[in-house]
Amino acid sequence: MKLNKNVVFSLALIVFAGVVIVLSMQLQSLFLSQSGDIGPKAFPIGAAAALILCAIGKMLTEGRHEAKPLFDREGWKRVGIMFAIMIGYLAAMWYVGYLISTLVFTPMLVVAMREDRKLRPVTLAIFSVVTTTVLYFVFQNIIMVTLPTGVLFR
Amino acid sequence: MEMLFTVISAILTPSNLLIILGGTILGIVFGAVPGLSATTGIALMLPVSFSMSSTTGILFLGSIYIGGISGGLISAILIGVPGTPASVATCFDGYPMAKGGRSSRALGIGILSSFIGTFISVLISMIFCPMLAHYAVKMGPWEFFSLCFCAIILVVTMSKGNMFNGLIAGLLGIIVSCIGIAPIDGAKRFTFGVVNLYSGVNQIGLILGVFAVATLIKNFAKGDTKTPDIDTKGISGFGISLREYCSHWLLIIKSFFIGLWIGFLPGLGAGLANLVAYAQAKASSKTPDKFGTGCDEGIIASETSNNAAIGGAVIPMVALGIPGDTATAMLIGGLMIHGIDAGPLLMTNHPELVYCFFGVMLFAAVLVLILQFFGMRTFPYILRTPVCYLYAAILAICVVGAYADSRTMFNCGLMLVMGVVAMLMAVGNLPTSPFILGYILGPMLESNLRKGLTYSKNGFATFLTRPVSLILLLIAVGSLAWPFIRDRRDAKRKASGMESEVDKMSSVFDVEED
Repeated sequence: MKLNKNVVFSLALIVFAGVVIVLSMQLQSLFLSQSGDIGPKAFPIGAAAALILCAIGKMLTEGRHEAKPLFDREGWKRVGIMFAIMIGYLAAMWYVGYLISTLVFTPMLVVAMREDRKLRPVTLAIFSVVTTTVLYFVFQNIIMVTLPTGVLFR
Repeated sequence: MEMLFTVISAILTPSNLLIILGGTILGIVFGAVPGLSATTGIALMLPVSFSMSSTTGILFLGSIYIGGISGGLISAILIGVPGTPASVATCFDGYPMAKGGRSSRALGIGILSSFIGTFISVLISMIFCPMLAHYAVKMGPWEFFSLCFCAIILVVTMSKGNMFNGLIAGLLGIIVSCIGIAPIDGAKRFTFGVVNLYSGVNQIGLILGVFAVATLIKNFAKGDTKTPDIDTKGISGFGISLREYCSHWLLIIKSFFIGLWIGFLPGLGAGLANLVAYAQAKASSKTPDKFGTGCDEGIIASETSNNAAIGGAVIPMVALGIPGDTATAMLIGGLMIHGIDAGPLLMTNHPELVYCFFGVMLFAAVLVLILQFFGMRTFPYILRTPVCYLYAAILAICVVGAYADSRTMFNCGLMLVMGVVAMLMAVGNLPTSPFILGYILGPMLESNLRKGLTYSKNGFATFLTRPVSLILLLIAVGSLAWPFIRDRRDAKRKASGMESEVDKMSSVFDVEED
């Protein structure tokens, strides 16, 4: 068996399943009658135990071959950038609300995903304003959901 | 008769008509853009649907579903890239035909086949659903537990790849579904004192994270975001006469039933149906060498079968509450948002909703036919939309949609966490279909198991002494052996150079799930 990413992944799954079992053992049943009910612990423990068996199965079957990487280095960089922008977007929405954060972060997402495409600032600005306004109108006025205003402006 | 009137009046209400039209167009767009699918469309529009009444919501989601499956043929034919896994085989003959200057004919055949597949399969599911539901209401928790168990195992074992990956994904979905208040006794599980987790992991947050955020980021990371060049000059009319089209009636019938049956089996669906029907059409053709060069039969087989799978997948969803594929799992989620439990009682408690769902699928099939015929020159322009703008708008919709469901930023964070989980699952080669199925069926599985044990004196033995339950469990256990038999058979075939048509075709594109 080679220590490839699938083996590491399987080991991580076994650790995760172990944590689930430990946490499940601490669960308190609100009632445990004589009726034969297995209580709230048994199901997650059963699922986690099965997960351990399957992770071992995965390790034994996929550990024998070379593992193909999901993305190359550039791909992972892109994943990192996208999640960073999304986290920033959510943080901004929390602090300054929907309007400002969406106006700022939608063009940022476009720029991040532009590939070789040349972008015109005017188009970006129009896109940002239109997207923000349309979503605001749909959710605020049609779906009747008050979008976040931001903790700074409360 | 009264039901027919209810359905017609629900569909033909001006506001609902607009919603169905919008949903169908949106579905076609999501189906046409490579990397997106009907599943992404439904996931993204779930938060929008909860502001609607349950009937309007199901009309909206149903029309996206139909538009989404049919829309895949546009990109498959015009740029040779399947918009959805359901249209992979359409590329094999649709694209060469379009390249040979016969785009109209390719699109026309695809549109007609889509219509036939959807319309007739929905009619058949309308007949079978009440029959199956009538029987299903007599089932107890033992049978339901075994049915859910069987469905999850079938999804895992019938899909491609390592069986352990599917099982792991399903079990992860089940563990995620355990978060929150437990059924029967109401104990809090894995909530860590977070109030937002008391009602479980939010469905919208999970679905958007796994099927929208992670999908888009994966596409971008793989570099699948370039805008293709499309030539729409030669497109006008259907390009084929009805008489000429009908001369392929035997192929249409064969492909239809292949799609219907594969759609009915849990976890398979349109993604596999089109490949099997294509392979079958080629194998039974007198001129198999014409396949792959732009022949009518290839497009007919693929598009009839993938759309027939819709009706097949709807039968277990409506009659038993068991999703046939990922898209129907989302539709069950949509019903749950409106407080409606999918299952055998759905036809008894909410018959108007069920028949509205059937009605809208039939109506949307006609709408897709009309829209795609008149929009033959317009819809291809969807493919010219710069992906960077499209994806940015979709991600913004995801954030707002996740917020709108619970009106807390917690849900947006949860969506992102689920996006990371989906990405980690992709690293470990875990498919997402069993994960969502495990998440949706997990609570049903647990509550029926616990009810079954509580109601009987013989404990676990009752699951084996009731005939239907026993048969379902035997099917589940038996199907666990299938991947080993399949792998051994494939290895033998590869060694002797006799790889099956479906294997060859699915290796061209990564066709594992929708």
